[in-house]
Amino acid sequence: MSKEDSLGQFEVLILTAVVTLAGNAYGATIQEVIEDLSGGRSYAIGSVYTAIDRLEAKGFVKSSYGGAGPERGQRSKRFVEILAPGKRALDRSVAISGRVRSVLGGEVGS
Amino acid sequence: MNFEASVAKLQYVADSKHSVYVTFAILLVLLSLMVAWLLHDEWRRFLADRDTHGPTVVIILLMFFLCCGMAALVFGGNSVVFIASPITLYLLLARLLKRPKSKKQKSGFTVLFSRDAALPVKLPSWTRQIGLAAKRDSRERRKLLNAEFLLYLLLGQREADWIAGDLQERLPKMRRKFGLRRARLWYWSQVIRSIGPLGLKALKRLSGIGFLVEMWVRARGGH
Repeated sequence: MSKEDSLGQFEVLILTAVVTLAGNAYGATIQEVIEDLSGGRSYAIGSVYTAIDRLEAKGFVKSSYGGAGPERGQRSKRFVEILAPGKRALDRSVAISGRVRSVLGGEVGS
Repeated sequence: MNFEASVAKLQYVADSKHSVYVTFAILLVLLSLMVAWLLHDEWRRFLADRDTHGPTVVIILLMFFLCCGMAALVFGGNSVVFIASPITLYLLLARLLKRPKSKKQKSGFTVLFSRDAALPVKLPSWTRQIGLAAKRDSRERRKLLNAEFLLYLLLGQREADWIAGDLQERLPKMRRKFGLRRARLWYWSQVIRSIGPLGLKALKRLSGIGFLVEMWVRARGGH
């Protein structure tokens, strides 16, 4: 597995949020979900977009634009959708985390 | 000063190392004119009803003082008058020729300063009855417009739109949860923390650092 295919923790969080949100994944909703997933830690919206750009460059997600509404001052949303390579990379990361957890057993995180 | 003396002084400036400063001063004046042109509508609004936002005025004043300072440094104190006069004339003309723009005509920079783009702040009904709501609404909106303007100033229009939209969407929830003041603080912190990563990305793209890093990674065998 090359470095291009590997995912950082933040990228795993974002891909998980995108999968969870299905068709409604865009900046604000992704930010909310990753803050919940990480136990209330605050993330800058700019970091979220930078990570999405990185994932898009790797071919893991694709973006589309639209959905401007009055609640956001008629500004468009950047919707994010996960692609097959992204799903595979997420599966790999989750599998690695699972193996690490099984090796550590009750040592941490119990 | 007679005509010959003026010509001799100009000749001296053109021949000496001062010509570099002159070129720099001219470039600064051109730059300030460009900024003035870009902010034309906002400037007119400022002159018309003093209803404008901090950063705009700060930029205009900074450019103005920079030009005056450079002129004073290179040509002496009197030259400030030559720079200040056309600007004063422009301000006077803008005041005389002020004309409200229709909503359809709004575009580019004018949209950035539009109040429509700001945060809707809900206030108790009694404030509306005594006319306090409108004032407070406007004040609260303007406080966050400065943060929003910072985004548009430092990022591309599209990225700034996404971020401003997302923040505006989450703001009412934050307000309900933590109160107006903390929600505003959250908004500002999000804007400031977002400028770092996004600005760095833009810088990499512009300076070609990203390309060099990519080449280096490829040269090392794709890892």
